[in-house]
Amino acid sequence: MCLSTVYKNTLTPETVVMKNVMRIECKDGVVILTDLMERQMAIEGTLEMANLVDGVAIVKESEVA
Amino acid sequence: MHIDHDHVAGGAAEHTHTHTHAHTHDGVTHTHEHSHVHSHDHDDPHTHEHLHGDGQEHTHTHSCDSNCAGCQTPCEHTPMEELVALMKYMVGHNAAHAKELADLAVQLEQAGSHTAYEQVMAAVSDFEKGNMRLSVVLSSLEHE
Repeated sequence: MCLSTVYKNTLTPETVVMKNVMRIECKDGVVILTDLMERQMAIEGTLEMANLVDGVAIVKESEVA
Repeated sequence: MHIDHDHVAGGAAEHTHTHTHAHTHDGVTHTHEHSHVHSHDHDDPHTHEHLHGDGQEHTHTHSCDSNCAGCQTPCEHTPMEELVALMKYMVGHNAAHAKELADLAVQLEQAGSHTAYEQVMAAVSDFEKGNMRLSVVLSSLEHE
């Protein structure tokens, strides 16, 4: 229900990838984030955790071989 | 997924850039650098398809990662517009929470706690007054 802040791999201030995220879609190994202004960001990886109470989510980026 | 790329030749419509990103061919993921010409408008973010020398075609997305410094294609929204959008969201969000609290109060009364019902409804009233104040600020910002 609330907007979330999404982090990449770990939950640290340095790893914030997008704030005010209103939609997270996981499709074909890509996590697509959409913020309040309808900006989108795609990260190859998986949604590792989403804490809907605290409004935080972590995307685990795929490791490149 | 890459974020940054280098423009070899500028131009909003048709341009070439070189970039690196990971992708998968026949189940094997690898990264390589390539350059290609495309002719889409360079809005951010955007998605496009491209064809590799081996005949493999795929689609990927570019995004600025909200890094405004040095951006060659500024976003359509000003910081104030973003703040107003956030305020608008918050006012609507608070209204939704007020309704949820009112529903919770009704459930408390149905469960036999009339005092809790009255107290929660009083809190909802206070909450709505605060949200009304935010709504007035929002309206003022929208008309600046």
